[in-house]
Amino acid sequence: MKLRCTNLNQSFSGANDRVEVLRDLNLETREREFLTIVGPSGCGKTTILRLLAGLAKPTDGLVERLPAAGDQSDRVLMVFQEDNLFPWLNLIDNACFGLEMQGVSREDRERRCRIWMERVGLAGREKAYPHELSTGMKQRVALIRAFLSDPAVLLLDEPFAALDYQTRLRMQHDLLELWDESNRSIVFVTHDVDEGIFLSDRILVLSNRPSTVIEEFEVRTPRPRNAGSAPPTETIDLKRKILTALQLPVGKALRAAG
Amino acid sequence: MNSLRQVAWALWVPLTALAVWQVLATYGVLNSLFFPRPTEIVRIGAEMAVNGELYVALQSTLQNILIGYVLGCSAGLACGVAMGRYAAVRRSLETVIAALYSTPKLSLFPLLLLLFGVNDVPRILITAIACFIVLAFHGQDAVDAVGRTYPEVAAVYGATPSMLVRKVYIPAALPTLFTGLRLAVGRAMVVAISVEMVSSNQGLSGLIWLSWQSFAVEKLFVGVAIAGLLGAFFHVSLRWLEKRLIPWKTVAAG
Repeated sequence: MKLRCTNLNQSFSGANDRVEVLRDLNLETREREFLTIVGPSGCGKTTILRLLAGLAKPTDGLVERLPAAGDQSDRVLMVFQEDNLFPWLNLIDNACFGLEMQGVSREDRERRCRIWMERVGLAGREKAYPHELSTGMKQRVALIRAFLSDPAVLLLDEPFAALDYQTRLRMQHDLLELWDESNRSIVFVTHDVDEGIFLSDRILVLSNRPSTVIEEFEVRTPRPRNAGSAPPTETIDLKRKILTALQLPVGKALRAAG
Repeated sequence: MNSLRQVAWALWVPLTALAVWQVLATYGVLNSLFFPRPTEIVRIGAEMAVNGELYVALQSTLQNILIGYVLGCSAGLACGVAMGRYAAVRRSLETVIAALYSTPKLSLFPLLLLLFGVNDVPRILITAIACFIVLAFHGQDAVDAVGRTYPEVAAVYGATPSMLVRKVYIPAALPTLFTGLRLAVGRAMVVAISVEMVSSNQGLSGLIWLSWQSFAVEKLFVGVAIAGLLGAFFHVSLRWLEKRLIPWKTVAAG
């Protein structure tokens, strides 16, 4: 499935004025693509995802879902910045929530879930409640919950922002693995340029508010990727271009390499 | 083991106090006319249990508390949920409920006596009103506690409206709801026993009051002790139920 936004405008009424968040934003995802959106903080990245997920209606413009023949489902799911697991469900019931809503039998959904739990190192913790777990573990369960529901497109809103550096690296790796096996499209929002380069096929750069897409970069590093596998010069060159597009100061090291 | 330790923590203060009391009363430091030995009180209490006196008193008080509690909590919860769900209901009732929350419910009792006569009806009603106010207040809080995010997440995963209620609204509201239920049981006891005291010579208050008038100090203490035990019993039962229904919430030790 592909998602297409045409001339998207979004504004909210603030305390004394209207805040224009998006102006004439256009984007289209591709099949089986890992697309990352980077942008300055507060530029409306989350707003875009909420519009794509159908959780909000645009002030003006069009959000379309273009189904394809090979779609596993017509679902567009979103993983939020905080894990948003249900505190009253244990891990396995949280992870299986989507399957339960689809009417999959308990036996069947727990069997499918256990495979994932084992893979991300959560085996044996199935009966634990979210408050007993670290942020990283909870975010893993949230990812499993999303992947298990077989979305055609998965929207990720800075899912690793709250994690420490090492956990984040592991999670990025886990995410690529999950994505690789499922072969669905991902729209990933982040403020971390390195993260975007490591994960994506394509990166869109947003402007300040009111936001629109100002630059688009293809990431050609071959997959499978793992930390340190990308040719450094290409990566640094790409990072320099993105930082420049974001109007951020480009450091000495980056300038020299470029 | 763990529950044994909890019982030990809960009991050591009252048991120590009783032991000190026993020693002081035995050696005449406390005037046994006003403070009979605890063992003597227990003996009298056992006697009253055997001859049925205790049962009659408890039955009448418990009836008022339980009927009032169930009626008041159910109606209060319905009202609280309506306030939480519908802005119009909230705006209309919020101030009224807040005003009643801090009004001593006993002040309404004479009016109820006028309306319904001196019988159990006003006693049950006043207990129900006390519970109603607490649950209306906390029921509304419980709806607020659900928030916007969890229903949204569930909806994204395809939850139907009935699923939303069962899987999200009820579990998300339960912890706050239990706070209300626990507060209400205390209010119910205070109000039910107080109105008994001013309007009847039945029940636990009847027992306490008549014992005072006939200077049966041991019986007086039995009445007070039973009221205390009843409160403890309700509290422990609700805690137990809470642990069963809300296993995800770590209840503080004890």
